[in-house]
Amino acid sequence: MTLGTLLYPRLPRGAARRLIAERSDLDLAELEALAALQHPDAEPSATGGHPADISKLREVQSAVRAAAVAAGYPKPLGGAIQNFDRPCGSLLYELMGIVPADAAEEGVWSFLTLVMVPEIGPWRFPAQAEERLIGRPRNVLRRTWWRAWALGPNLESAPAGCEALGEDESVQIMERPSLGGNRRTARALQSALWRAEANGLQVPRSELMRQLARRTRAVKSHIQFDVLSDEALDELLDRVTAQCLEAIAT
Amino acid sequence: MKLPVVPFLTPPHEAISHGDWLLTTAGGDVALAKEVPHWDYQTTLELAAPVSVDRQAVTDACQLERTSGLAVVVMARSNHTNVERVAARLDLPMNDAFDLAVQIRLDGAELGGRLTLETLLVVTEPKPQSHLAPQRPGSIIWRRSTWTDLEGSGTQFPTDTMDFMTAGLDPNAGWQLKIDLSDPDARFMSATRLTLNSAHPSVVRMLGGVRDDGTEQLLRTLNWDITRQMVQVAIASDDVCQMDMDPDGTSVAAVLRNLLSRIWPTESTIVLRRWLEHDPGRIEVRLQHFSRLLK
Repeated sequence: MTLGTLLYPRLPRGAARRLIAERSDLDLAELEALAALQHPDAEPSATGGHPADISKLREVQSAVRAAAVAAGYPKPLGGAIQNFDRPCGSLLYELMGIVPADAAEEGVWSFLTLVMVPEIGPWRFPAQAEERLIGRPRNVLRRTWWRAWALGPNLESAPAGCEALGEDESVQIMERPSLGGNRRTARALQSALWRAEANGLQVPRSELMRQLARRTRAVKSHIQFDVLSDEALDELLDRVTAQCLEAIAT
Repeated sequence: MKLPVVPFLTPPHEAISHGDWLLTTAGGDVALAKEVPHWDYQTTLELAAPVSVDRQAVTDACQLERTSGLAVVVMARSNHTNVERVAARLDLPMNDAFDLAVQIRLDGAELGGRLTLETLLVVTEPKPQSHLAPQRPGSIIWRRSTWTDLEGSGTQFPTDTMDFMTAGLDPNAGWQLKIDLSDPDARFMSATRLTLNSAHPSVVRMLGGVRDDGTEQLLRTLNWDITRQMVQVAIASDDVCQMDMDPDGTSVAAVLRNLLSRIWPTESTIVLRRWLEHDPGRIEVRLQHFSRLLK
C-alpha cells in the first residue's frame, strides 16, 4: 500500500512532553520495554478516514524496529545514519497508508515516536533533543516519511555511479517548503544533482546542493516550474547548477 | 503580502481581472469564505473564478510579440502540509481579450490548515521584443492570491464511511455505531466510531450535502438512533452508572455519563435503570423529544 486514508492516533503535546520528561534517564532496553500500541491520551482524527487498527500499528512498529536492527541497533549509528533513515522513510511511506494531511500532524508522529517505538528516537538522536522526539517537522520518523514522499519512495536508489542523497542534501530541499513541498521540483533538483555527479564533480556534492537549493529558490520566485516540460526544467536546473559550480570555484 | 521583484517588465493591473472564487456546494455556488468548516481529508473542494486577460495590453506592456504563449496557472498551497501543486492551467487563445472560467477540484488528502490559491499569468513561450521583456519560458508576469482556512475548530463525532457490501455487512443498512467500553477510561474519540454506508443512495445524498426533506429526516433519525444506542449502552454499564457527572470528562464512560445527565438532569442512574427494566417506553419517549426526532 502507498497512500491511503488510514488515521493514526495523535498524542497531544502535553502528554508527549510528560513522556519525554519521565523517561529521560532510561536506557534503550528500558525504553523498548515501555513500547505500547495505545495511549490513554491519544486518539485519531474524528473524521477523514479509517483509524489504523492495532494490527496495522503493530506492523509499523515491527517494521521500524527491523530497520533499526538492520542498521545496527542497539549499537550507536555513528556516521552511518542513512543506513537507518533511508530505509525507514521508504518503509513508513509504503506501509502506513497515511495521507499527507494526517502525516503533517504533530500528534501522529509524537505517538509513533514516544509510544510505539520509544527506543528509536534516543538511539538515532542520542542527545534526545525535544524537536526529534515531538512530532514536529524535524521528528526522527516524520522527516523520513516526508523525504520518501518528496524524493522517493525508494530513498536508497540512485543512478549508476551516483549516491543517494545524504542528510545535509536532503535537508537543503526539505527545509525549504517551496522546494520540498513541490514533489516535481524536489525530484528535479535531486536529478540535477545526480547529473552533475555523473559528469564528475570537483567540489563536495553537499556544497553544490546547498548552493543549488538557494539559487533554485530565487529563480522559482519569478519562474513557474510547473509549466515547463520535463526537458525544459532539467535544462533550467542544469544551467543553475553550472552557475553554482562556477560560483563555488571562484 | 510580500511580492517578489521580477527582472522583467510586467503588465498593468487593469490588463487582467480576476473575480472572486466561488465554492461549489450542494446548495449552489457561494463565495469562498475565510473558513471552510466541516472540511476533512476526504472532502474534495470544487472552486471556480472568472479571469479575463487582455492579451494585447499584456504583450504591449511587457514588450512581447503578440503571439507569445501565455497561460493562467492556479497553484494551490497548504501551510499544514507545505504541499504545493498545480490546480489548473489554461493556455490563452490568441484573441485580443479573453474571458476564462477557471475551475479547480482540490482533493483533501494533501491539504489542511490555510489553503492559499495563487493565480499566475505566465509566459509559456516568450517572443521578446526587447531585453526588458520576459525572456524565459515560465516567467511569472502577474499574480494574485487568496486564502481560506480549512477545518473548523469544533469537535466532530468520530465518523468514517465504508461500502457495507464489500465489508460483509447488510448493504441496505445505513450506519453502524461501535462503542468499546472494555476500557472505560479510554478516550471517547478513540473508543467510539460511527461508520456510514457509503454505497447506500440515501447516505450518499446526505454526505453530498443535499438538503431536502428526505435528508433532513435522515439526519434527525441518525441523531436519534445514535443518541439512543449511546443511552442503552450507558444505562447497561456499571462503570458508567457508578460515575458522577464530570462536565470536563473525555473518557468514553464520562461522555456517556454526561449524556445521561443532559437528557435526564434530575434523575439518578438507579432510576434510569429501573425505568429501562420496567417502563422502557418512558425512556424512548424522552429520547425522541431530546433528539428532536420529529420536526
